Amino acid sequence: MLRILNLEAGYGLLHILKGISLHVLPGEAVAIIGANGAGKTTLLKTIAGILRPRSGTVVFNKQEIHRESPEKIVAGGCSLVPEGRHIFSTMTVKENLLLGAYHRRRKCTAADIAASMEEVYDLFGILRERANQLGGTLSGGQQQMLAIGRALMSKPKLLMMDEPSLGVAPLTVRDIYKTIARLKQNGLTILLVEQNAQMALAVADRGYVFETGQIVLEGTARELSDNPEVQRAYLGKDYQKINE
Amino acid sequence: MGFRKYIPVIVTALMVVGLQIVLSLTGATYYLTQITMSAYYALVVIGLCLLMGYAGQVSLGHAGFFAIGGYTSAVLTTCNLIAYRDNSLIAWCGSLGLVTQWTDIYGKDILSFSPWAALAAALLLTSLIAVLIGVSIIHLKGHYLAMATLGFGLIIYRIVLGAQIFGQADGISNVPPFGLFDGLQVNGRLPFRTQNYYIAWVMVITTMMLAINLIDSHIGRALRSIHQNEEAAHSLGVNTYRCKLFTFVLSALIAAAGGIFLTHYNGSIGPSEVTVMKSIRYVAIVAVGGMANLWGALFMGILLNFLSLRGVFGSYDDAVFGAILIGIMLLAPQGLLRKPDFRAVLSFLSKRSHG
Repeated sequence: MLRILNLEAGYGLLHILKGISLHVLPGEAVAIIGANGAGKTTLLKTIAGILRPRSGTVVFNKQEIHRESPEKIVAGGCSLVPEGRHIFSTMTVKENLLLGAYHRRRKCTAADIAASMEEVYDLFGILRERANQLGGTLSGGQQQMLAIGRALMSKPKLLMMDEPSLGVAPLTVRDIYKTIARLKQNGLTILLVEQNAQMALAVADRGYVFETGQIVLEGTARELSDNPEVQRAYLGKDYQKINE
Repeated sequence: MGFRKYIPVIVTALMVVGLQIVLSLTGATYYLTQITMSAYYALVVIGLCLLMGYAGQVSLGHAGFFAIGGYTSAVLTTCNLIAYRDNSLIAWCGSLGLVTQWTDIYGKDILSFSPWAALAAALLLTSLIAVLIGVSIIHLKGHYLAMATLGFGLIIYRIVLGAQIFGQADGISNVPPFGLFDGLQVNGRLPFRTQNYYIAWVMVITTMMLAINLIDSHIGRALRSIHQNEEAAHSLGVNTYRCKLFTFVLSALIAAAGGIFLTHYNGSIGPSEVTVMKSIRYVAIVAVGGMANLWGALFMGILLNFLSLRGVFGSYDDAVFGAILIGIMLLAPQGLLRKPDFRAVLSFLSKRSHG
């Protein structure tokens, strides 16, 4: 579904991604874990077309997309739930969702879009209750749900999520991850970026570990969560021993 | 939502009629002239409100678009082609109804382009220039966009002031009335006063309805999303560039339309309409109205322009608008006319009381 070869990208003089190669198979959930500043968000932005890569290729659905505009990429079925949610706080929940279906306005009837909205409401009941409330009045977790729902409105084949647990109450994080697992069961392909490695590896099939713009480890979610290096660096297993 | 958004439209229409009745009963119909002029200025403000409040793009060059509309129309309807009457091209234009013959106030016969033809040409020229300008500067943000549009406004001002064809410092006078339909005409003379009051308001209300529907459409949502968070809008596949360009051109066209009709109403246009202070005035009015508040912009557009035209501000006219802009930015960046946010007031008061 997604194949990335030797991707390099950055902002101005900052060179962030240093030759990333990875792939995501159809129906798979892949987690990218790593510390702050490792380049995880940059990778997702580059795939989504918001950032231009310096070199390398991104192939999505057998098409090269690394030179396409973001709107073409979304229309092609690759949606991003941005880090920090970025919902539109002065618009209602419903308007936020409608914006998610922006690229479908010509191809689809209003009934199709209403049907997608029903699907999102079924997934996140709270959004149905708050449909006419302003986005800014939702709690952090609800905003995250809205951001995911908004991305789903574009009917993606690949859903990319950037830190869905960031700034969300732990109990709600569990709810959100349950929903991610459900989306995966329904056949959606997922690329997930997380600092919360434990949660991410629980839902993912495979994972990549990023460190300063490079992939330092890859493997199945099982292998990664059993790996002593990962445990030490990202799962915090050793700290207990140190404290003792 | 469907019907509810038209309630303010109906209320406004009733107020317009009510105002006219009250003024005619009190014998103060002379106010109608300035209200009519204010209504045409308010058109510019509505267009700018769409651009600033909803698309988040500041333009300090809207007087320029107003002038392109007004001056194009003025030039085309006053250029005397009578010497070329027998020219085959002119004759052909005449057979299409593009040129008309009329007599000016000095009794001179004039053969010129008809106001409708001039209107079409002016709008075409405005959209052409707006697209050209827009394509090159719309990717700029914040101060840079303001600077670029300011530059555009200055260029137009110098052109108008310098070119013989635009009458230099005198401007163009003797612009004929604009016959819309039989009997109805945009004409500033006394017998047409009440009629023109309503013509101007029909235009304002039509533009308002257009603007309201635009905001409520997918374009409006896209615009608001760009205003709030351009990157998030991008990630949803909103073509931010196209949306902004579209609004820029639309807003320029509305400003030009205001210029065209006001020029026919006044019978003249001069370089004072094109100064940077005029552009700043429009920005100040949108800011007082509350940026993303069309009704606020309309109300303030009418009120402040009316006061200015009545000479209430005297020779401090421009200074007043500058002061308004500074005051709004410092004290009430959300504008004066917005739904009062009681919760914010309460939390502010409670914070105060807790010391």
